Amino acid sequence: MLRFAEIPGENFLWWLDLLATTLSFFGSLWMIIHCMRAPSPKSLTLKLIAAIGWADFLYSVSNLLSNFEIEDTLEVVESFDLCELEAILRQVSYVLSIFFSTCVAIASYFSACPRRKFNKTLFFSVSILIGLVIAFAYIKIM
Amino acid sequence: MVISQGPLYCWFSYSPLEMDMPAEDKLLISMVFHGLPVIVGLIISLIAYSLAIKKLQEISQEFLDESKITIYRVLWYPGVLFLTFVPNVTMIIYVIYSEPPIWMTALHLYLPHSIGFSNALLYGIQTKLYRTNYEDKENTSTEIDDDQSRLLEYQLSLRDRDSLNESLKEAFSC
Repeated sequence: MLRFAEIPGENFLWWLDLLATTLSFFGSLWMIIHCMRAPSPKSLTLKLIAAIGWADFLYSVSNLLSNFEIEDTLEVVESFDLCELEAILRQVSYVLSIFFSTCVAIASYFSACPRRKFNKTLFFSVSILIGLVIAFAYIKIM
Repeated sequence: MVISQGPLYCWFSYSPLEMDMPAEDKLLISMVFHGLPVIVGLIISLIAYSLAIKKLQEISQEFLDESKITIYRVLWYPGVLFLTFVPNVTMIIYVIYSEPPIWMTALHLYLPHSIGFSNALLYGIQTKLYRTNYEDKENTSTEIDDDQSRLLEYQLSLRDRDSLNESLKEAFSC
């Protein structure tokens, strides 16, 4: 979490942050609900969009947590439990959102060449696995 | 690096006013946690979409017009990725060396924090994606998206009967 000391217009920034986070929260929720409502079997793109939705949802939750955090910015945070949760949520969701967007790009390339052999189920499983490995690697170095 | 105080995010600050640490160390940390995922993601996305555009350009314009496939629409995806995360990385690097102007702080807060909204707009625009799943039962059962099935039909229309069977076998094998 990036902290600023004595920022001019801090109140405006807090409201702007809250607005962005609320929009993000409902936007990601909308993505998840739409993907879940789609009948099975779901297409690969839809599964990846659902994964992006979950990552964005977690990112919004971590932003909401930091928005309502009451602390002196210059002091070391006392409640590490909440801070740890927020830190893990933020970093993992940040990385996973970018990762799944990249997976959609790769899947789009394969969609543009239908004659190329492409196992979509395997691609999705490997994507999830790599995503989890990256997330755990970040948690480890935090 | 001192990790004894808990996870990095709980005590680390990029601002020179709040924490005494060499700027190079802060830059390294910001690149590992923020810059690297964005740069790698953007590079891979740009390569993948460029290759996809190249493949789509091989198909006749008439077919693309008929199927309502807009080639350059795919550039929206890396575009949003860039717009959302690059101000974030720029701001973090900027704040290490100097006090940021308020507009930069506002951009840093608004763009990355509204990622869910941007993605919902971007991927929600693909109404046909949802239509494929809700209405087109045949396509969903074989997991072939609209664009892909139209491209496949086009390719099949160009081939003779023997290679038609071969293509079908290949397309439905996944």
